[in-house]
Amino acid sequence: MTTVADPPRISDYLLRLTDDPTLLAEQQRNPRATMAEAGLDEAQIEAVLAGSTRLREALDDELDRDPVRRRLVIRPRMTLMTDPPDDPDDEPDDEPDEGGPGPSTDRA
Amino acid sequence: MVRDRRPIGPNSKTEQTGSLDVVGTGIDVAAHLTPEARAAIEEADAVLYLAADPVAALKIESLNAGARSLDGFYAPRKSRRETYEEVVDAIVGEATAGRRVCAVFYGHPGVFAYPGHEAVQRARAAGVPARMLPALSSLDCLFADLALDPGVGGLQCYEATDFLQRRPPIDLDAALVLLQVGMLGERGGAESPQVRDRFAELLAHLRDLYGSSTEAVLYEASAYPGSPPVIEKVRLDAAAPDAPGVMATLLVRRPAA
Repeated sequence: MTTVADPPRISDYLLRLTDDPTLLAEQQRNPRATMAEAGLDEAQIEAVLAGSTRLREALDDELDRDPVRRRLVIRPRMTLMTDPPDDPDDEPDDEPDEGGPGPSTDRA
Repeated sequence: MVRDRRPIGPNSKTEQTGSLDVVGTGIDVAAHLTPEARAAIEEADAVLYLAADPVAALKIESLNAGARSLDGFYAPRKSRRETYEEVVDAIVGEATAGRRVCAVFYGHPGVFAYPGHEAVQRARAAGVPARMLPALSSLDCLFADLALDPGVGGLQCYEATDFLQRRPPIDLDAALVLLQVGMLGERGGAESPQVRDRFAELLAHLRDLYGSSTEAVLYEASAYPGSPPVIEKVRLDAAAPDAPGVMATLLVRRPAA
């Protein structure tokens, strides 16, 4: 009986790039061939080549299936410019504003 | 020139064993993490991080097994100021307890990152040597990907919501960069359907300034090697523009004469 190995996870492959400058250079020069050589399947390769948004979705799906790494599914935290400290409670997190632009900024 | 790697601060005390390094991962951790930031993470007694993508989090944790995410301080309906204060307290608390602390942020730790600057200031005020190391921000990526040299004509850079609200006077001959345009007016830090309407309002304001024929560019830096950046032209006279991506930056510049 032959067994077919699962393709490497995208997250593991991207992590490998952080420690392998030669592979990183190959990935930047010829990403499709380099990922195929590393064993990523066509859907994974297409996700990487499609850009950060689709790749991020694929990464989140992958991590969400892993009970250990599920905690890493986080969304980007945009910086909110804070008002002076004596301002009453505002800027509730994750609560969309009802009206126009948000509070004045004191920092950029 | 040999760079002095010792933490510095106005109130440095040689007897103090704690220290604080505030570093950034860059936008693409595989390509942008600097050797000095990597060393700071590896050598720290305590690593506290806020990452925007899971690969960066995995990398930080691989460099220092004790690394802890600060993401748990964020919560629905919680004041962002309260979150920032808790983040700063956690970072400075470890340093004043005598540990060598490395705080890691996404991108550049001092660009659109209030807790990074605040932690350095408070640590120094407490007599703990503290420093911030430079890193690549999305602005640096934009310079490269959109062939923008701020030395040619100048550069104006605003947070998009701040720009739309205050409408500061601008130099039409200098490039205008509006960061976080995908989060226009979002006090809660999460995008909502209202962003699209606010983006239309922003384009109308820019059209009044630049004229209807000027094109702008929506830009999102690539966060992963081999994954292309988003570069999308948008006309200032677009009647019903799509909402920009959450991570988008808007560049407006007059075409070369």
